[in-house]
Amino acid sequence: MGSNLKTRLRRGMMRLMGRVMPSCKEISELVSASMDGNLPMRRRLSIRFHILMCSFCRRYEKQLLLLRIGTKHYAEPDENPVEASLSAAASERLKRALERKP
Amino acid sequence: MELAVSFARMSDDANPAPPETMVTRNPAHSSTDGLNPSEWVDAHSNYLFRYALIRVRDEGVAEDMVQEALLAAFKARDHYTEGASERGWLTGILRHKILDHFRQVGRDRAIFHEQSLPPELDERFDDLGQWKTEPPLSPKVWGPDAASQMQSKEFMAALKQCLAKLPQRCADAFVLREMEAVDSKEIQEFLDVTAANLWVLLHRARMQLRLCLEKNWINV
Ligand SMILES: [Zn+2]
Repeated sequence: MGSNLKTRLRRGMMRLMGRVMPSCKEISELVSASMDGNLPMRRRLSIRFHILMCSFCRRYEKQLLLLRIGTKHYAEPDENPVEASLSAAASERLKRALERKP
Repeated sequence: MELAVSFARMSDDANPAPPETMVTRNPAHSSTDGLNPSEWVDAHSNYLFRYALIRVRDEGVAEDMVQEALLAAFKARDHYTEGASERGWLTGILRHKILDHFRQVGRDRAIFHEQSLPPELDERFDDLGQWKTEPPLSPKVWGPDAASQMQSKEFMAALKQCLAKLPQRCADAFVLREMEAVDSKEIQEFLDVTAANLWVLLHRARMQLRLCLEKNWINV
């Protein structure tokens, strides 16, 4: 009951704001774009305003930033325990190729 | 061939490289400074292979990249700066090979036509473009210790799985942007896509990866 009312209020508020502010869907696009280059000030402000009021998009942004950090670790061979190693056979192939050399 | 110093000969004290060729250093000393090509495979090839494999996601391609990079490094050994890290220098050469590879496949891979998200991602928003709360399809809380789990084996295993589920071009764009920190403009050239295409590729990659991690890593 209570949560239903909350949901309806929230929807109502978002519907009103939707006329002046981007939706969650648009914010998710802007958040991604903001990670690849400088957005105009107006865009950056609209993300910040939306995120002040929307905990889902706040989470979304935070988690994309975590994904970025995690990917950096993953990309470092010495930190990545899940990617395969060079097989002995492949290592032999490399040695032979280099002995034939340029 | 004046550069005909085989790796076998270079590592053989009884038969040292001719003095007019580049590698005249006594192998006994060469491990402390400078390059030591006869040791490259043993010392660095596993690191280089894994560096490539993480990015190109195909063992055969990764092995080829390493071979190309080592041969190129051997040819370019005049350009090595004394005192630089041998592994760092080799990795730099490998990185160029990897970027070339993406430039190549960028042209070959089917054009990515979609301008919007696939249903699995799109249906998480309602008709107003808000995250759906009934049923709850909005981003979930990842927990206060998620940030400290970014180096955990579990996280990386999930990320590997999730990367493999991305369409190739999405994954390529994501790798270039997030692993190699290549500038968007350059990625557009490498992958032969417009700014808008790249924007969709990266948006989709991130949204799909986030959701996949939430399902396969957070909720397990
Ligand atoms: Zn929102």
